[in-house]
Amino acid sequence: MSFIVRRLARSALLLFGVSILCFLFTEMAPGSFFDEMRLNPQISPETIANLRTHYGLDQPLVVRYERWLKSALRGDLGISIAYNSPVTPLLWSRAKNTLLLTTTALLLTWIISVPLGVWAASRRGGLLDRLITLASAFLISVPELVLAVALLAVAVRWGILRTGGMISADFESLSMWAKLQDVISHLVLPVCILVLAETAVIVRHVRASVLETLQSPYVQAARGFGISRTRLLFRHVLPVAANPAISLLGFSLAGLLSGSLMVEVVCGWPGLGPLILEATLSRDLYLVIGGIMLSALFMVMGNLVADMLLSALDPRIRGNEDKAEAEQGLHAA
Amino acid sequence: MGSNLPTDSPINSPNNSASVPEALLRVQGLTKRYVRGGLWRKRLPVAAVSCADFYIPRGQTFALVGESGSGKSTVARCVTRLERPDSGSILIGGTDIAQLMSRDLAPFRADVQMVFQDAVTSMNPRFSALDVIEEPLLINCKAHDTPGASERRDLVRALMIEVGLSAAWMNRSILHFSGGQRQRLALARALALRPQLLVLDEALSGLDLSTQAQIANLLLDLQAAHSLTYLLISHDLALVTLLADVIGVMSEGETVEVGPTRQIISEANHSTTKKLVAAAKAAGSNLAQIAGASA
Amino acid sequence: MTHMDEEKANLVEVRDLTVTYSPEIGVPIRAVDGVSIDIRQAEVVGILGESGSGKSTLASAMLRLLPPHASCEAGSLTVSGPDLMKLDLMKLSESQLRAIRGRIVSMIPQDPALSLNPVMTVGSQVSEALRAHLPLPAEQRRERVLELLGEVGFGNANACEIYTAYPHQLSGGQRQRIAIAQAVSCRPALLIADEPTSKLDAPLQTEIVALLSRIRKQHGMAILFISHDPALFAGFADRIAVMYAGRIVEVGSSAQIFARPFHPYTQALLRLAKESILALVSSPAPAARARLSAIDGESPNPDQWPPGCRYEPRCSERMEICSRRYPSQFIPEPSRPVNCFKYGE
Repeated sequence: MSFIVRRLARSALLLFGVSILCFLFTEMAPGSFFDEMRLNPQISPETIANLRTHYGLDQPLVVRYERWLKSALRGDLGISIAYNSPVTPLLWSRAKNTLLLTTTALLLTWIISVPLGVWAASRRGGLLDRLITLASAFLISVPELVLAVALLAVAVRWGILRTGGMISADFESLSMWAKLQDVISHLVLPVCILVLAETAVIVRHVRASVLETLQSPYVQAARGFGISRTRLLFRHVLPVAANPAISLLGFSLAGLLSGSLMVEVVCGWPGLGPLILEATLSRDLYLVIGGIMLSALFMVMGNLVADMLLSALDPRIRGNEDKAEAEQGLHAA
Repeated sequence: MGSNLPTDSPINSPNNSASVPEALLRVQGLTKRYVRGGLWRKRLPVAAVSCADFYIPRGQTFALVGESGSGKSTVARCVTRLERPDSGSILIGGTDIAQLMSRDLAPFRADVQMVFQDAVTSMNPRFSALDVIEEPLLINCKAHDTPGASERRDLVRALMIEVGLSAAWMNRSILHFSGGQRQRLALARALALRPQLLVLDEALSGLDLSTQAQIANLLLDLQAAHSLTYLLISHDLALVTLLADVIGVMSEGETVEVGPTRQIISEANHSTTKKLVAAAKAAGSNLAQIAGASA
Repeated sequence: MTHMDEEKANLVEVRDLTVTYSPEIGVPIRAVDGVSIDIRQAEVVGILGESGSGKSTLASAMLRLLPPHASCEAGSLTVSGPDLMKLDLMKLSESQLRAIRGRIVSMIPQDPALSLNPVMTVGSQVSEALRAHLPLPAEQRRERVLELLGEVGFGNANACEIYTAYPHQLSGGQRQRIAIAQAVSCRPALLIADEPTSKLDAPLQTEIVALLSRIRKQHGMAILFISHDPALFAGFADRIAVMYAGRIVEVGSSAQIFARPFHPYTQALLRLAKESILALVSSPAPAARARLSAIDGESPNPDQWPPGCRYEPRCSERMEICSRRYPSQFIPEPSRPVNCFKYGE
């Protein structure tokens, strides 16, 4: 289907742009990986120069970018100076953990916030609606970091949840089932933090969107035809209200990603977050770029999924894409 | 301006150049296409206006009528240069503004003003009447000749009285004005820069009958007072017959028939014109019969 | 008010209907103020009124479909059901009202551009009311919908195409036809049409009125037709009620109202309507840019109705008494009530 091809092409273009900006900004940023070595009298300037040549950092930006792009297209994102190993497998081993965290959080967020938002909107002004509005306002106004630390403190104090890392020390010795239980018990805390922070935002959007649709003339008209409340909500309102909420999906994924980077650091989850933070602090050039590119890739994929959902749900979007001619025919009829 | 008002109705035939009175606006071979699609999509040009030809002598009212989608609003947007036409010329007092860049357009913006159908959406809802009317004064005058605040208030007061609004309402939010009053506000705003040509894009549609009549009368008064020229865009032939000297009929992006109002109503040639006239007459004939019976 | 000629039973009886909007900020607004009106079986009643007269509020109130911040009181608001039982809409629960909406009383919304759901196909939207009221198997329901589409002017071949189309693919006139098909799908006894043509071009307006007229003749339903344009009533409405500033000021048969309007407001409005079309119909005289005989001023604000006659500030025949109290109903001729001191005191 040409629609998907077009969206893919657009995504590729976007990633291309991000990579250029990445190179430009890392070039412009002050400091380099070797700054610390330069201060060390035991390391001669020649050694550093050799190292720079070894990693290709003595080349002009354009040449470096061209080399990086060529290898990146084959899946090789360069070499980490700090780890002295290829960036791709390094990132991938961590990315799996981040994906586990974010997709779990994403699914839970949507499973919780859509029904809550619809419920709040359909009983507007009721106790539940006021409670949800208040709670989400509170959660939005509390910085995510504070929320994370607070939950962490509670978890540690009460000892209900495993904190720190993704697996216990004796993980290898556990049975398959126990391994799964172990990971889940570690997963609960960071997922909770992410879900709380994101749900607060999304519930509000879903609620606003459903409220708006409920007041639209076509829903009022449908009420005038005596359509039952439930059917009105699920058949007439939700498909329309889903539209802006789904556009949000792409953004919420981005929010989750940046949120998860922070949460990973706080909870010690071995995901991309700690890795990228460390790489940024030490100016580990290609690891930073690789990390950013991977985040960008996740986001682009999220938006792609959202776009495809939208076009499946909304005939106006589909219509604009490929039905222009059919439409004109219908007008003539 | 306005000293040489032509008195008789013009004969709109381009060949007959000797008898053509001075035209304030002359639109020739105007075309405008919208392109649907974009970077990755198949481009589908949709012709909004394929050929528009007409002219308006100074001080007269020209009505552009047609069914919805016939391209009449696009012509209005091109004349006011809210859109840039693809080809053709738009002569205002002899200068072709069709392809001018925005910097060179500035002097013409003051001469040509537009009034939209929906006065509500064409105004910032947070504005007061004063804000709405003085806005063009602030935007369009060069820094050195922008009138001072008190001078502006006097100007706005005069304009409000002229369009039949109480000047005491100057500081009221526009939300407190009724539909008819907002349309008066829109006219005051359009008049603020003393334009020569007013483009009225369905400015009387969607209003109640009595409000419509009030605004129509106001338009006649303003035209008499300032020798204004009107380009009236409408789908309502009944109203148009009362206001227009000349009617141009648009169909599928083309001006298919142009002629004096009376001629268009009584001896329509083109099928679209016939259709529009028949519909307008049908709408009124029952009423007229009953009216006739009682008279 | 029309008890004298009962040649047909009253389908709808509205007594002293008052609707008050209480906005969060500002004073309460009495949009409809003590309106009484009867609609007989299979009768077309026109409500002639301009914006702010409360005619749209009246329409919504008759379906009990007002927004939450509106309160509605009525002496009675009854509709005769299929078994001729009188149902008082003021006393019914929400679910009982649902059984009436679309089935006994149905409404055509004002703006066809906004009144259809953008993500549902035409076919499924038209079948919604059927689904709510008549238990039919899917195949039969589809047949009914196609039939309805044919009824509102989509020919056989066209109907199938329209069935699967989405609203954004249709023109304004086509959408309004769909809205009509939706509203009449369950053969209601009363169809409320709230300015169904005001957003359409002039040629389409007559088409839609003609369609409504045809459907009404076919199925014998009553229609409450609301408009600000008297021309649309001519040849269509049996009776006309003129509304001004929240109240009905005059009622009469369509012929009577057009020939001899009693209320000064009706007189002025009809004079205006005739003027604007006279030039068109009897076009011999060159259009001598004559000013229209407009009614000066604006209708009063609903948050502060004048104590006397609400038309008094604009009336050319006002008397001293007019500004003091609201004129009660006078009946100068049988079945022609009018609220004006010209006809009694």
